[in-house]
Amino acid sequence: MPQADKHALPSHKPGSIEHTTLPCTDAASRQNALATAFDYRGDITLDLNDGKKIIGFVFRYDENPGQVHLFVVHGKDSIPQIVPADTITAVHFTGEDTAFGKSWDDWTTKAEKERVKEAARLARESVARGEL
Amino acid sequence: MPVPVSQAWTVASYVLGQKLRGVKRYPLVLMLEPLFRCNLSCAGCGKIQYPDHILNKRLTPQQCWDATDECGAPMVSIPGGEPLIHPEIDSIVEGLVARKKYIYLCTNALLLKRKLDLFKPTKYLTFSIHMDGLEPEHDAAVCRDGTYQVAIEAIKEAVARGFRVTTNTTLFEGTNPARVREFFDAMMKLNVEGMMLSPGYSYQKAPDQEHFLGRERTKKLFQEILKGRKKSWKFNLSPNFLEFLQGNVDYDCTPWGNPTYNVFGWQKPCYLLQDGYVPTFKELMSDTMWENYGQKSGNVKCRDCMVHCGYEASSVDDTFGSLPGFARTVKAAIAYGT
Repeated sequence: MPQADKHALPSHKPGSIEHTTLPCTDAASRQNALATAFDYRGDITLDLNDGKKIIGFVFRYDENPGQVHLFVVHGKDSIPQIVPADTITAVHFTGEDTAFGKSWDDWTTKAEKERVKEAARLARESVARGEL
Repeated sequence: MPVPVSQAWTVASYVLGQKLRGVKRYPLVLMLEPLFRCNLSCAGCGKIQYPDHILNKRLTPQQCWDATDECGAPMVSIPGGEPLIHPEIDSIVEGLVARKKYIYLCTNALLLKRKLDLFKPTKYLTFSIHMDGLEPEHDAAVCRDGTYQVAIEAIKEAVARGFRVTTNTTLFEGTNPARVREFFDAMMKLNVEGMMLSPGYSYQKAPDQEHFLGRERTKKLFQEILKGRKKSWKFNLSPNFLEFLQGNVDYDCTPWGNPTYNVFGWQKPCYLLQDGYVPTFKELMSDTMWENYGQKSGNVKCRDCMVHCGYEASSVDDTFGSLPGFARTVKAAIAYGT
């Protein structure tokens, strides 16, 4: 069994990596985990080698020098922080995969009734935020 | 002519100035994204899929003005997200007008009628209204019924109050050319200044890839749409870009032409791809491996892209790059009435 699978948690969304984990045991696995984190459209949790955990959204990953740039969650806000890649021991995809299930096909294959309901819910949310 | 002479002159003198100074890579339009939050949730959109704490971030007016000064482009496009959600959008626009930048504020118009009082008509400000077709096509594209009618009312109001108004249309797989032609007629009846067109954005991280047009399909579609075009249709695009979309002229991408600045910083390499961010415009221009992008680079991410943010700047550069390029532009401008 590949290491990534061994450490993976079961995803509650088939096809999404949400709620899975990628370990960083060597340079190659670290590179893969951090590149995947950069592509992910949700928050992740980083395990650091000093036992600390950081939760945030990765918006930049530089392979050389190895650095991860995140917006680290602080209450309802988030602030930018840079984490050296070689201090990261695992990446957990803990936040909602916000892009998952949002394709045009996903939308059109829903029943009309479901689409109307979802559109109404999204509109209500926008009104509640004062955006409509 | 769908743009004021002063705008055409500003752009022409800027580009010629860059050419005379021997600047190979220069920005033409700053893509300024002051937020990612939108009040629509169009299926397949690659710009709004973020956690709430990211969607709640806003660039400050000062950040917007600093980015504009740093970039130096004569035009600023404000997409998003929905810019009219930004609580200080009027202040942002005011600062850009003071800098004499030609602004295209891209909006779905759901809030436009309510917020028009925040703005003053000026040649520097254009509302670029997202319209993806006639009522059924537009409402289906944005996944909400009633949106088309709200936008139409807002366009009428903005035009009546003396604002510059254009439409901005993105075409995807399955577009019916005859319906697009009917749509052009409907938009021109509203007295908009011109129409912008582009094939769909193939966002690298968009959750929908199948519905973006391939290169040959794009050319065929635009040939059919623009065949025997009516004199009444006005396009707010470089005439050579319309020629490019139909396959009548070939360009490579100019990804530095429309640099993008948002809550993450300067986006590498372009508006569509997200290969990372850098804090300064200077770093964007110097650190990006530009040769790795564009159709001719062989980069698969760029293979099917013919989007205006990459190729409109190429066509403008062609206009001022050589006498044949200038002659092509004049010929196409006469043909399209642009």
